[in-house]
Amino acid sequence: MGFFARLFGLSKKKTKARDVNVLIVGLDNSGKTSIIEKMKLQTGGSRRRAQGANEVTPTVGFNVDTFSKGGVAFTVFDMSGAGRYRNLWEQHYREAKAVMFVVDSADKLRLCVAKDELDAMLSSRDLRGKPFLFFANKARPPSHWSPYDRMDVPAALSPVDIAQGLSLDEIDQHPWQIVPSNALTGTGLQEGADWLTNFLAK
Amino acid sequence: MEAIREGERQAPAPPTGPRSALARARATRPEQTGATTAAPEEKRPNSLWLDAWNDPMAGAPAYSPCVTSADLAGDGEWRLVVATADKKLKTWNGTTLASEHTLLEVPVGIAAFYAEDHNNPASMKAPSLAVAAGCYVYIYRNLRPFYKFTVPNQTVDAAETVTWERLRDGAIAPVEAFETLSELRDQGAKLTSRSLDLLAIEEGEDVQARRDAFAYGNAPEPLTQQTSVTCVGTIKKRSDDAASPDCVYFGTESGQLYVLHSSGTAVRSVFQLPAAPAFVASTGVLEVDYRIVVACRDGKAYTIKNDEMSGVVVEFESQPVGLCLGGKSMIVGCMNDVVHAYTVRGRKEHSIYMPSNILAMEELVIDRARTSRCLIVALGNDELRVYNGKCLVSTCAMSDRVRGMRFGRVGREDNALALTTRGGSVRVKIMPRSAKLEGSSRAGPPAEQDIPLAVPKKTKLYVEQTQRERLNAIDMHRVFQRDLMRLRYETGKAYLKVMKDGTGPSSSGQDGVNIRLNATIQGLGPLFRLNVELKNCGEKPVMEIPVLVQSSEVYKIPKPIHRCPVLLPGYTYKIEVMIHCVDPNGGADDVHVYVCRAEGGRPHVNAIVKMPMSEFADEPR
Repeated sequence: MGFFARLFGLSKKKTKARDVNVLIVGLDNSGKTSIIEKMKLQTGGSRRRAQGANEVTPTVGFNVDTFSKGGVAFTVFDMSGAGRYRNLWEQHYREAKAVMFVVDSADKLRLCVAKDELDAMLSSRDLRGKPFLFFANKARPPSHWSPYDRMDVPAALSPVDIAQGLSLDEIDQHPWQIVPSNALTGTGLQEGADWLTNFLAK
Repeated sequence: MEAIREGERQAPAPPTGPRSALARARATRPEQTGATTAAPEEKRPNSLWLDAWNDPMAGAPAYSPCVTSADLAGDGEWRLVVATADKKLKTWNGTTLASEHTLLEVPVGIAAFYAEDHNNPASMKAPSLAVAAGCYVYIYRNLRPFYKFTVPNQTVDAAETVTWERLRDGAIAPVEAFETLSELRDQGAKLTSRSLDLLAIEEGEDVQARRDAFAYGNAPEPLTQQTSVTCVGTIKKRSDDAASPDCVYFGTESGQLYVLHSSGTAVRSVFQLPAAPAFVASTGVLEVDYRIVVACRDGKAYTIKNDEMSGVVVEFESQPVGLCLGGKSMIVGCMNDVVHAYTVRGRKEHSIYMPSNILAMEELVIDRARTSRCLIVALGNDELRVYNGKCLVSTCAMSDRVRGMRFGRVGREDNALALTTRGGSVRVKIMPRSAKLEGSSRAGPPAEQDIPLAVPKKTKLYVEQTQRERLNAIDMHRVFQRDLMRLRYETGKAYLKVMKDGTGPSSSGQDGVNIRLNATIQGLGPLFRLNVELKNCGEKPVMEIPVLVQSSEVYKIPKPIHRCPVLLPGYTYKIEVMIHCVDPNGGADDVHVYVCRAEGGRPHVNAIVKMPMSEFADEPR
């Protein structure tokens, strides 16, 4: 009996702390590590390295970061997006409670690659029903969203373009949300994290 | 009695050509160049390629040698570089046109290379561009013109030089110079283009005046012979690292292959080949161990190995249209739609027969857990095929004719294929991580051998029938033989009757007359044309033959009787008879054609033409 009580107590305690594992994935150079570094700064967590978010180096393999936000203790698996490390992503599907998928708004060329990787994730059994938060990273203010490329301004896609390009409207097995973000200025990160926190706090 | 149907409707076939061309035009209609990437027509469930980007309005007509990609800014974002046939050098950063330069001449090839410049070590961070055009190799550094390498002049025949000098000094007249040069040409000397131009003036009224004008106009200039670049490539100088210095090499119209120093400003070595190079490819490292294979216009491939012409010469069945040098094999596409793979020592490994002509070839190298080497071939039937060895891995339909292809890193994607098409569009296809490049290896017997034949089961009926056949074999054979004989007899009797009645396709020839009749119908109605062809297969000419065309009231025949004055043996005579369908419902009936005898009696031959259904008349009557 005492054993069970202890077990229940523990589990209650655990639900209070709401410790969740979150997977953050996306193609290389989309800004996953920068987003995590900025989120940690915003929550006042300790920075992993003595460098700003502007100077992250390409992740090799993956990094594990922890911070808490809105009463939820996040353990984030920051996966490398380089082609040769992408097969590591699926190793973490089972224990992940949610997925953050980062897309580089400026990389129009590789949107189809992101879609290919996303489709592979969505068809995985281990991720069934888990929430997906999409960051349309490196976003610029809506006044800059334009269907025409200008030679002086690097082309960027709006979150609508990205949602279309990734066929997000066809996702029916997962709750999802797309948020324009900018990891350097920190815009949109709070909004995305709030959506995820609300979802995970339920 | 078998009716002889000679009539055959020959209505014009529906015009398939223009219609399919229209369909293609519809398929290539410019789509929006924005974010939506995949063209649905090219999306297949098992396709090897992702459609990353398609810009139909890119304005980049270019063949494979004029398409490349390079890390021009040194930031890891590889720019797509295209030297177009309309003399533009365009670079794209991602999907954005980043720069556009005007070229002075039509480019034949471009190559990106890391130049070695000891005075300016910073310049080695980003590659330079070598653009071969005319008799120059233009070198761009940071996309700014940096150096113009001029291909050295050719040696000129001494006798030719003397001739032009004497002409200049007035020692000889243009007539004599013309004769001397003509003799030199006949002796097999390689003349300069100026002399050849002079010798080419040989027609017209004022030939001599034009020759004089040309000779005196050109004589004061010193005699030189320039050559132009035909193909260009690069090879690593010291090590295989991506950013280590490269050397540019190029082939010329006069059959040389020049290898430049890594600075790109001086010649390192020259090789003389028996013919003008058309395609060139290389493997290895210049200072360690290298091999340059040159496919020439004489339909042969020559190999240069470690600064020496190797004895390995591969002769192709047909002219080469593409060359790839990957790993230990050399792959050549030929004009007769065949791709041959050879070992570097010239032994043939295999041939792949293509269903259509080869437009472009490119090697596909993917460095994953293990390196896969495949061949991408763009075909004239708008297919993009990938072969692993001789196994077909994938086929992808293109909506336009491919002109140039380049596989490599584009933007931040390593496995990208940049394509230019006939319409000047640029597209990028990306090979996903999950792509399987292993072709189904078919060693041993074909798979069809294991599929059992659908042999029907032995039913009771079958068993009984077999039993009966075994018991009454002799009787059955006799009955069969009797019936067969009877059939032959009946057939023969019917044939004889046909011949006698003159209703066969050719008359019997009893009275030495043998006329063959062939009637065809043209037109859709209500007006038809009946083409009657008569051929006298006998030996004697036949005189005064009336040809009668007869029908029911459905048709009106303005001129039903034609007279053939004479039919010579062996010639085919044609008679055209107009037939007008007057039936308001456009009904169809038979038309009889009789080739009669002049003296009357049985016709020589007749035919029944089955008329097609008629279209309705346009104007109501």
